[in-house]
Amino acid sequence: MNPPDLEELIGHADAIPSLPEIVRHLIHSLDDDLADVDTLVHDINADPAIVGRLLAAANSAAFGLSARIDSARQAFLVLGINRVSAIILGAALLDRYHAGSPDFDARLLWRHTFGVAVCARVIAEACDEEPETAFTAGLLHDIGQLLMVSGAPAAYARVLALQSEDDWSVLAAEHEVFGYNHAQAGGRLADYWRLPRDIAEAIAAHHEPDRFDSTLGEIVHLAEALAHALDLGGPPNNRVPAVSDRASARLGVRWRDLVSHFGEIEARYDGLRIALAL
Amino acid sequence: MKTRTVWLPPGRVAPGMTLAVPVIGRDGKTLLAAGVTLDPTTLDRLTRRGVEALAVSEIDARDPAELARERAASEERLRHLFRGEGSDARSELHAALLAWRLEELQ
Repeated sequence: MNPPDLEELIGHADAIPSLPEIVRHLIHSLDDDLADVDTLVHDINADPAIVGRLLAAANSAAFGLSARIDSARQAFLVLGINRVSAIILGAALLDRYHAGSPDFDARLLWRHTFGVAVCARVIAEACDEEPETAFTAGLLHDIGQLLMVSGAPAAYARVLALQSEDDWSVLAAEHEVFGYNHAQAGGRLADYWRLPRDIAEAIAAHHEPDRFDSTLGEIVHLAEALAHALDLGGPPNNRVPAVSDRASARLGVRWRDLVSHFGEIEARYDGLRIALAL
Repeated sequence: MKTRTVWLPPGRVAPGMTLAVPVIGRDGKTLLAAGVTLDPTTLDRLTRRGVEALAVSEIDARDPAELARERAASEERLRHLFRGEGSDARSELHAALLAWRLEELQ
């Protein structure tokens, strides 16, 4: 049986859970200094599962707090809106999208995406771009893989076999089997989920930034390369993907200038994994 | 005694450790200078300022033979990660990672 084409694949989007309302709200509030914390706290408190995850993660994310964080409001006061948003988004993704197939380990995907998110935040800071939007785009950049695994598990198993047995790159293997790749599928899913335009474009652009005009896509593209190079959540057959000279030049990123951040990136990544028990 | 700088997330930083790299706030100002001994009040304050990782000094007890093995393993892993052809930017990333890993293992 042939795998679905891109249009048919999008028809499977309803088969995977959509993002919770509070997560959509948070994504649209990123880097918004006027975001209404009272409304966010109210929305968070309506979802006990998210509150539980938030409190567990918030107490792990704090350096030696004198008192434990025991409410969503206190988490905002101590950690700030950006870190709370990162925790909630991460927890929601982990809780909702853990199912894979016998051949696909969703936890490996999430470890990778958390690594890309941390790298994207640091690269955005270095480029004077919005770090929290970059973090979120990094966290969501591979949602296309979830859709492909969910919509065509047998076909995606062939992709994974080409990678593990014949050392194909993920893009080449996806093109061989599906005729398109997870960045294209992810961009379409982001549109379907009505994510902000810049995040949807970044997801679509992250492997081929030269075909787009997306600064955020270029940041995620370089973050992807850095996360692979630092081996953050990387499997044994990990490989650094292609890195665009054009994207590096447009952002003004020189890797040797970022070396002083590498140790900090690894520690931030470890902190997130501990906080979210990933 | 030889020391080294290690970056740690919250939960792995304990009062009594010595800060190795200054903590700089988002406004570019120094929040805490290198050399300060961390105490619970200071750590609490850093959390509230959004700090997510700290560099501390620790005694480097690794022997030269162990370091040499780790350097060789790091070089081999990086060769594996960067297998295949790539752009100039990819080669620069490889060079930066290699220099950093080897510096960490001196």
